[in-house]
Amino acid sequence: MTARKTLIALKNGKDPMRQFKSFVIAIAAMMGMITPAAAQLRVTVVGEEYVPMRIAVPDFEADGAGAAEIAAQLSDVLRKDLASSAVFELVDKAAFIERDLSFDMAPRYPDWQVAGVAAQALIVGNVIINPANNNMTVQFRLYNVFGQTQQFARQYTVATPLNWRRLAHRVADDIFTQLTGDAGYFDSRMVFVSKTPGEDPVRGRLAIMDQDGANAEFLLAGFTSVINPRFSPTDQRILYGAYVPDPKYPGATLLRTYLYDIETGRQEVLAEGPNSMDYSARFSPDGRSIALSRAVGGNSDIYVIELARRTQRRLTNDAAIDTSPSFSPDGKMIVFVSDRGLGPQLYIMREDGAQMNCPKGGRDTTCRITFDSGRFTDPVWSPRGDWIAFSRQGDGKFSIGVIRTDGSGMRILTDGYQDESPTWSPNGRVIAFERTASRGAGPKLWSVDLTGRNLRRMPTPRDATNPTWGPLLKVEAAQQ
Amino acid sequence: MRLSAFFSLAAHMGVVAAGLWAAQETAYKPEPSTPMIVIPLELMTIGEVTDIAPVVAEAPKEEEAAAEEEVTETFSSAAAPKPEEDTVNLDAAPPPPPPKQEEVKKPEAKPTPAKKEEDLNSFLDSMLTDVKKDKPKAAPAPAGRTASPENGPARMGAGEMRRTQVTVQDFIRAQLINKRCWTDHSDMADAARLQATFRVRFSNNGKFALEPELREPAREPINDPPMQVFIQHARTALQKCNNLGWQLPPEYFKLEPAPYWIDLVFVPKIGAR
Repeated sequence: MTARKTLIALKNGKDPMRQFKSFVIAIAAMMGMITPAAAQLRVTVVGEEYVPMRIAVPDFEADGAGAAEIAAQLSDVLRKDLASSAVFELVDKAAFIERDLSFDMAPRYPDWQVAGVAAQALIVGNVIINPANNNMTVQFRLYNVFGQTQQFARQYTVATPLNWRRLAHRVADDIFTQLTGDAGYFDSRMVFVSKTPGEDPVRGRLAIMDQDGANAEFLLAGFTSVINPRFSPTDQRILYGAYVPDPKYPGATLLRTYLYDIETGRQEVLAEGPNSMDYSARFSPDGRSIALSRAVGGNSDIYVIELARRTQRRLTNDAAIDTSPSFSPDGKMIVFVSDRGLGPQLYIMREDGAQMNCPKGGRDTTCRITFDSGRFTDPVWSPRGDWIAFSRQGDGKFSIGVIRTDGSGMRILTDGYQDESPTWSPNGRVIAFERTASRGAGPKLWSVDLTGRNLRRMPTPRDATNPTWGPLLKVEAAQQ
Repeated sequence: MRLSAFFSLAAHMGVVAAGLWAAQETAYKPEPSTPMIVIPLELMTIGEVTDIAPVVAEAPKEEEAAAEEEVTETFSSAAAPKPEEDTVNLDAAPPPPPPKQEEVKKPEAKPTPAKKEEDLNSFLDSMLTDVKKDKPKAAPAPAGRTASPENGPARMGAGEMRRTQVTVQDFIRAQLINKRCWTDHSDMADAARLQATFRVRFSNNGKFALEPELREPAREPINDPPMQVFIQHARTALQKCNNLGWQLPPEYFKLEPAPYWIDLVFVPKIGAR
């Protein structure tokens, strides 16, 4: 219509320049009629319900002497890893239609799309043991079933088949990364304090296990009263506190903080000032410094110690008890507990002690981020940086919760008779903690997804407290 | 006698000359012509913007007819086919009654159009002729609420369009969510920032007419694994629902202008707050 009117007007016009302009306008208007239109409708689709991703993991193929057994075990560990995550839901093997899968051939996608199977992802793998040198190679492919494409493929080779379990965790991490965009956490270990039921609650031994509970063993046979182990986020070192005989006062005990290298077995007393007690130590993200609480004369403040030179900096200087510091993943901020308000609450401060803008307004060297009637303890900054986990006592319960670093969005993930000591998985998606189900019950380790789903008991040989989740283990296998 | 005849003739000639002079002096003199300002006009059917059924245009008044004589002449004089069957009919409710025949008044006879400018560009003239030819011919009378001598076939009112859009939105959204093609992704790192938009178009066999096209972001970011995965999941959601088959209201296929593209914006629940 516009073009037509313009042309009509053009026919009556006298000015050649105006005629020309009108002609151009008319042409543009007609062109506009035939140009592909922009979308006429915009529909926002909000994922309302969380649904785990269905994933199918048939047994890996095997090639070589002894490979079949390892392939079956490796497939089983892989399935358990993925199933333990809130992200995935395993497709029952009995529902599989295509059972003659070959690693070298694409699957029949429709067989994996049908109702009853409805797998979004399919993993096909192969275990090869080389008879010449006993090397083991694990290959796998990840298929996007509805996209009908191979999404990812990788191969690991290790010197001995004995490492099959770690390879299973490694494959699980790769799949997790491909399907979630986050790093995995299956190829990691956890240190905790192992307790013997019925024993003095103060007594406890340092122990370590894979994150799935396998390969549990004690560390440091000589120490029997260990508390608060903390894994380094970068390597296999831990900090821990231990009650040891006080040389000055026979019969009394003294709390010391130790730095222990799990791989070399070497350990050293980290900090011990005259007339002071150090506790609640935790590594900085780069593993080069630690933050801890130092009690002098009944008052606790936060200190940072650089490990290489043992230089110390005092970060808080307050009459209140400041304790349980934890670094942000960029190392620039620290969250800690202080009772400078009414009861223990969470505060944040800069690592250099400088003033900062507080989330609730104003400038100060420390900013309170919780304003709750409960009592907050054990804050731990997420490796992802977006949340701070804590334990909270209030309303007759102990809870594990998370809060954003500006104090917003507090969510309680679990509560029970006594839930405490949260620790993050290396990718910041899962929180492990200690739970005492009732009076007189022994403490156990549990885990919960950041979303509050997938509350699971973590297997430990005995009672367990104070879990601390280590970083992903380094890849030793040749990777292609 | 001769002398008197001479004076009489002279006096008559003087009267005639005076009359001619007076007539010339009192005659209408047009003002000097000014350059014509071309103002593009968008003639719009009222049904495009409101629910109000447009009244079929009455015969233009004399002065309006003079102003639009060419347009009116062109479209009213054209042979007018009946509206075709694909006229949009969105609502289950019965359509409004057609206007009475007598309401549609034929435009009155126009004064003879002014003489066309002789210097018209013949090329432009031919283009104008083409445009006139391409335009669907208007119905002379009924065609209900959406008929008009201006626009010919029935058009959807804005309210109907909105209702249909809402219906289509609900259909698509419900399938993506109820069939669990698209689920919550709030547990992803920094989930509130994640958003992916795909442009889709459906064919009437329940499948996409074309592969969904990623619109926002324009490309999959290489250094942003969470966003990559989010986009991949959105694409998989579309593929999954496409495999299951889309169910769309018939109105979708009548929406204009066709083809009717839809942008699907995928967000996690945390990002929608």
